[in-house]
Amino acid sequence: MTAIHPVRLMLATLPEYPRFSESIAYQLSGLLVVFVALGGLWALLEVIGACFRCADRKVGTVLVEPPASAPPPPVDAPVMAPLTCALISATVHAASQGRARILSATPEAPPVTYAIIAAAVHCMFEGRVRIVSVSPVHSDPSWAREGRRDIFSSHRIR
Amino acid sequence: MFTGFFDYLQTTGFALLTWKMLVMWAVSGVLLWLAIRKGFEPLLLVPIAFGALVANLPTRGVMSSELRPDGVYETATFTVEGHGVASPEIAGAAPSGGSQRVRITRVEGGLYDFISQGVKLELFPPLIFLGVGALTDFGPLIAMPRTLLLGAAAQLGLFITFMGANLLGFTAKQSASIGIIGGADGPTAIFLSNKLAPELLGAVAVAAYSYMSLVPLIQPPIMRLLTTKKERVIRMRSLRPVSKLEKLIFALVVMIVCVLLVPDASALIVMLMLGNFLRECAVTERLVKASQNEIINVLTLFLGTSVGLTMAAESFLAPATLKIIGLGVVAFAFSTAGGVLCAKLMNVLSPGNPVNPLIGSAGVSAVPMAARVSHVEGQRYDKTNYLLMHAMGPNVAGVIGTAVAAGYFISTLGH
Repeated sequence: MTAIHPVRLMLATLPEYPRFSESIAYQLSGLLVVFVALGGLWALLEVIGACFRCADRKVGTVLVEPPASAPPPPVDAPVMAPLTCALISATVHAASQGRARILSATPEAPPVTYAIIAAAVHCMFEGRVRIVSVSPVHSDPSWAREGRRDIFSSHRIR
Repeated sequence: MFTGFFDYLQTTGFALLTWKMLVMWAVSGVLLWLAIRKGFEPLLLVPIAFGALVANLPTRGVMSSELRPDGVYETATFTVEGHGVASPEIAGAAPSGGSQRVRITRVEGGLYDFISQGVKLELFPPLIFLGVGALTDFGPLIAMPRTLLLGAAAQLGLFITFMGANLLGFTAKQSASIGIIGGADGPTAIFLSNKLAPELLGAVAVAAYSYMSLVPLIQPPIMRLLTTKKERVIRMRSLRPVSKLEKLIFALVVMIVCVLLVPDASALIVMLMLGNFLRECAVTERLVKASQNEIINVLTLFLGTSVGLTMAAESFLAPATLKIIGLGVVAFAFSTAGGVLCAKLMNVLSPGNPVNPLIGSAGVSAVPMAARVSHVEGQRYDKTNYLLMHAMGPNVAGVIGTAVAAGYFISTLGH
């Protein structure tokens, strides 16, 4: 004997043109089914989530939560190249060790520029290096041209 | 000479044109304008509009000529008829004279006769759900599972519209097909309409996709009407990180629970969760890429054109279509209101951990447009309040909720 689904059994008598009261009862049943399904999932997910949080606490994982409604990273932001990441890490490393020292520099550049240059030099020569001077290159446009080419080539031509 | 020329004209398509077809050309033009000029869901509206234009041209070799009076195409049904004919010339072979000859009539269609089988046999919507699953990150929902209730509340429009359609003279099955427009889920609307009221498929699909594209226009006034300025600037707690294993378990749990509760929605739920499982397990990269790109793109193209081809003038230009378009707005409005009001209720019950009611409207499952509308609306009042990821929770919950509601309609009306 084929088993009949309970909901189908309950509403098997819904006519083709139901009366208003029948229609109301039908809608309430439908909403109940949806709420039971999603509410049940909510309960299950809470239990599963609690288990995972508990397991995280046991292994000593510290979850650093961002501040409330912190802005998410922009979706279209370019992924940083490994070298950039290395430079930034090296900058932090050098800054924390207090080993980066710029003896002479042009005053208009922001301090972060010197930090990045110092980090780049540190990465390149893998040792303690003293940077004697930092000055902007105005005469040679090659780097600017290369940067422009890189930006243009990153966009799809339609 | 002229007689010959006019005789020739009678054999061309011009002789078969009707004024209704010309009206449908205009309807196709409007849909194409909305899609191309206004950018409203172009990926779907362009194929639908193009299919509608083709359906109203006297084509040969595109569809079969088997059009039922109610506007439903009998696509690629190989009609095999057995006729018992007493044949005198071969009767001698059988002394009893009982020998019979069977004549087989085979109706063959054109290109879309076969492609439309994907709609008729309900293959396209579940396969599109495979792609949707592969594209969707359920992380925000897993991190804040209580937003499932917002997805459930946003199904309010479906059931209220069911009653409205009933009062307007539609049958129970037709009313369910119209109500599902409020779910703002195209594949589910097509899946359900095809099962319960295939004669309304074209109108329901067009209404569903048109309103999905109009979400940024329909929802904000309702959201503003139902919320105060203080509520719109509520900041929600940040979402916790969700591990890969948790996401994998989620896909399996949702599939099992939903299939057990509403077996008639199995095809949709199973494919949705298969796509998501492939995505999250991270070892089936090729399959995920295929689901996210090739499979969903090809199916969207075929589904759109197949749906458009159901918009033949005879069936589409009927008073019922206007009623469906009107009821679609009602469904959308009530679904939006249901989500927002549920969020407000949750704040009353749990004041310590408030929910911004603007994310309630994302419970309609137009992913991710409804979530984006919540975010943009929130930023109107507080530029530093980022609601997008919070709104993705009810948004994907709405997909599950609409599939469950469709399963309920099919289990109660479709047998």
